[in-house]
Amino acid sequence: MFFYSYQKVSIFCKNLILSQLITYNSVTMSTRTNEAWLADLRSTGIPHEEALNDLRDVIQKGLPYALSRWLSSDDPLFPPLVEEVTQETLLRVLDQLDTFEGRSLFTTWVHKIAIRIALTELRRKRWRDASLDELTENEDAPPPPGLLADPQASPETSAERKDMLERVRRILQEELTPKQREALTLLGLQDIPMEEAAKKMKTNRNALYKLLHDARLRLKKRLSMEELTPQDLLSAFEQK
Amino acid sequence: MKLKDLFQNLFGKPAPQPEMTDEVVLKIINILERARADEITCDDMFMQLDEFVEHKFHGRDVEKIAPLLREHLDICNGCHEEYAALLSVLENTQNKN
Repeated sequence: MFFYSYQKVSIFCKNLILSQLITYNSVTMSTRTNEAWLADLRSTGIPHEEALNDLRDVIQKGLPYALSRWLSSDDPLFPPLVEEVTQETLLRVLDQLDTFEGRSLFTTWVHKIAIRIALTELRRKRWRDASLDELTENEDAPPPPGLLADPQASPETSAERKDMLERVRRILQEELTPKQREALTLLGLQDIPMEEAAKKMKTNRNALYKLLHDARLRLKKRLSMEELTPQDLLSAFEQK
Repeated sequence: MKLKDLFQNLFGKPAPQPEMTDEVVLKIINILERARADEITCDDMFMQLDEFVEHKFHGRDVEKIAPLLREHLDICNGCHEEYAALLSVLENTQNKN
């Protein structure tokens, strides 16, 4: 009799503790302020572990929406990618905790980091998995129809367009460094993602953007010296 | 041996070199049209992306609040993809209150 009562009380207590814990977890997870996230992640022991678990849930809840344009959550590649991204994001968040300035929700900041990691990985995979044939198959393909082949353009318009393109091509050759020319051509010709182009050129995305930015300003200045503007050039191609 | 030489040995023809076709030149002109001296970089964009997306999510006028960020998104595909992904996460996981 005593044993039976003891067992009942014990089960009751366990259930009570469990339900309290679940309530505590759902409340802390949904109502944690930025300060609470930071405090818990900087602490040790159970609060730290719980914060990490909650953050793992936050990341994994967001990734299907973040990646939906590129990868379905039904795809067999999805679960391992999510696991890899979650691990990497948690490590990076803990490492960069002091750089969070509180200008957004902490969870938005974390999603941002997860998205950067996930998209970088997806872009890398997409380009790595493209076969050599796929990358070179355009070599023997006929050139794209091109704007000069516009059947509605008059001979004068076609000649004018050809002349303008030649002028710009010459300016590109004269004004840009080989590295700037390579970057513009890679991105313009193959639509390679910025990160992949950067890797190909042994630099990083930000440095490549700066390189392109300088190139664009330089070209714009030179065009203006030749009394040309990008708008003039573009409008020449809009004429019928 | 350089990759270019290896390619030439294996296939008996030079590695493909990107060339400035008319389409590439025109794309470059398109990009030039939007070039301005006070542009921000991808690192600047990333630093402010979370705050910027929250403004957008809450329906605030981001053109007025952060015009340079808005313009960067128009010309940088990589940053725009990250912006769209983050906005999608907020729209599907957060309340607007």
